Amino acid sequence: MKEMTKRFDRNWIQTYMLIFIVIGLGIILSFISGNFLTGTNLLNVLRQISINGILAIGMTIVCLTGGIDLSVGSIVAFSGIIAAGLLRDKEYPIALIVLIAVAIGGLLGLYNGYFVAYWNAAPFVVTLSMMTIARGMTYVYSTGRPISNLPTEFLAIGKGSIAGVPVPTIILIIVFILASVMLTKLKFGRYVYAVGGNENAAMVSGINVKRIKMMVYVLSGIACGIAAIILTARVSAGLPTAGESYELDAIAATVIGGTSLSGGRGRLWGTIVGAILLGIVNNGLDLMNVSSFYQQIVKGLIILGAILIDSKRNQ
Amino acid sequence: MKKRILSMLLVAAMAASLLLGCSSGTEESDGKGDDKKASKKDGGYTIGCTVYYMTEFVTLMTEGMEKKAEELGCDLVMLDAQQDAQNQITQIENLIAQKVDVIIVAAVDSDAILPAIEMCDDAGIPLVGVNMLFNTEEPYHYVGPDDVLAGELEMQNAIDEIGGEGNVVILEGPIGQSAQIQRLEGNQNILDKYEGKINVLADQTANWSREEALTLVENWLETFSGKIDAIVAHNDEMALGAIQALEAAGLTDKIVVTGVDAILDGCNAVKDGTLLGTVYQDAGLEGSEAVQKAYDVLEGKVTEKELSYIDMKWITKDNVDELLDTIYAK
Repeated sequence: MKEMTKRFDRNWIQTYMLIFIVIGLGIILSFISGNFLTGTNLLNVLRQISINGILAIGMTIVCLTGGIDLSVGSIVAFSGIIAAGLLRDKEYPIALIVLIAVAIGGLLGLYNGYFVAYWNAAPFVVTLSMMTIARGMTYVYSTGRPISNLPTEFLAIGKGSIAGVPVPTIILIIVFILASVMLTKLKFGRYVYAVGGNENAAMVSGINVKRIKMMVYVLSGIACGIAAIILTARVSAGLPTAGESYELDAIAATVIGGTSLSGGRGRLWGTIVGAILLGIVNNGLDLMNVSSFYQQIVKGLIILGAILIDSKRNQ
Repeated sequence: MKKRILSMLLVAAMAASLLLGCSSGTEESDGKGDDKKASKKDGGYTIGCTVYYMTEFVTLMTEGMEKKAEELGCDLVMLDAQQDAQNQITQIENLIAQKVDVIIVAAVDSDAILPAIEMCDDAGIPLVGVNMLFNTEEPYHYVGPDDVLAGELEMQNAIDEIGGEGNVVILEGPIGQSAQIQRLEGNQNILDKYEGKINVLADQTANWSREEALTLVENWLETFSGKIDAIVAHNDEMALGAIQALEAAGLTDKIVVTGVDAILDGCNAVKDGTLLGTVYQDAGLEGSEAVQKAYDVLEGKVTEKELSYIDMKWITKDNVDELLDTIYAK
């Protein structure tokens, strides 16, 4: 009985503390800056976190298997620059170009997944290699120059809204729902957790571990492709420098959300709340006119706090 | 129990970091945010600003902005986009949400800043560009350096020094940035006059970076051994990287180097004689002029959207002390 209450306590704190922190932070911010708790600003925050949110969803799935994906920022840049190039040439319909960009993301993810799963290579190193390869290919394709003059219909993806909700936010919600269903309702999700929890046990129980490990990188790549579309539309250009260090923000949201980097444990909604927390901190500190030097310190402290909780939980 | 202590610690840390944030914010702003309305009565406006990155140059520019804003009784909100174009758009959204009166932008990217023009139009907030041009045909408010002139000055002086004949290499800024495009245009204007006499052996970007330039020039010295007469760099950082490569190879006396920006290290190199000369772009003046323009737009004194350039000055051993004794004086 005592054991049970203890377990309840622990779960309760783990599950809801993050939400309380976000709400608490929101309340504090709304007192400090009159501009925080306005409809436009909250929609701004939701729009601003969409890219990191989508990348973090992919990152979370990868981390659940005990892996990591350092190449997301570069894959975003490459998918985005290809999309921008095709959009500028105006030879294909926009919907097809969007699909191509997403497919390219998946394809680069497949490279990561193949070497991690079938060559048993360390995810850190494989994705590091993809990180520089994709960045290099981006520079080659763009010759280092931004690609602009994109069709206005496409730009609506970045700045448009449907029923008041920004399009990027809607895309984030759809990605979140799809990924949640995949992780909680499908066999695939159980396998992902099983592989991350104990790879040998998963293999013994007949799970195709290699295929699962490959698939998660493909999914992360697809998430990059989707994020690339939003980013390209938002800045109305394909930028060779786009997405630099975005992997770090995605990892931060994942870790803050309570996903363990050693695999097997974590929740998708935690990741989203983590992304929202980072977004609110950025937005709030911008509104309060805090120099970005301090913003980085605050972000670092939050990440440290999250990892401390994670390491305590492992004991 | 441990968890509870830990969670309390975390909350405390967050509160502390927030307080840290707040206190620093109020320190700088002297109670702006809340008193925005109050300060408006003495003609003061809130000026929102986002810059691409806090380089030494941008820091000098923002100091000029702060001084001018104070003089005009305006509040200045200063944000740093850290070289991320998407982040800059985010910051402009946040400035609009904050209802600043005017926004000044030193763009991360000349193309990626274009959505901001429309966002500001929709919000009815005037937008003033500084330092980095926008890649648009439409007119816009802008204060910035005359980079074509800078490119002409550094190339002309390098060619004069080598006697109007020989081989040069060019270290370019990041391809596609307005400073790179315009400085290269300036370089080319001069090169056109010396067709047949001056050869460009190589021109490549070293992304404003001293380290990248060092490697590039080391490789060039290897490839074109003995042939290079002058190195024309689009900024001082890269020129300094080139000088390091020359020093290592013992070629400082044989090859002429020119730069742009007149940063402190650049001026010192000019004084030492390792850098022939550099172009001074008065960062403080640029920032101050940008704030003045933003103020004039709000006051209705400037109605026509146009580009204004600040003057550029060629700095050599003869006049470098003027800079070292004024803006760089300890």
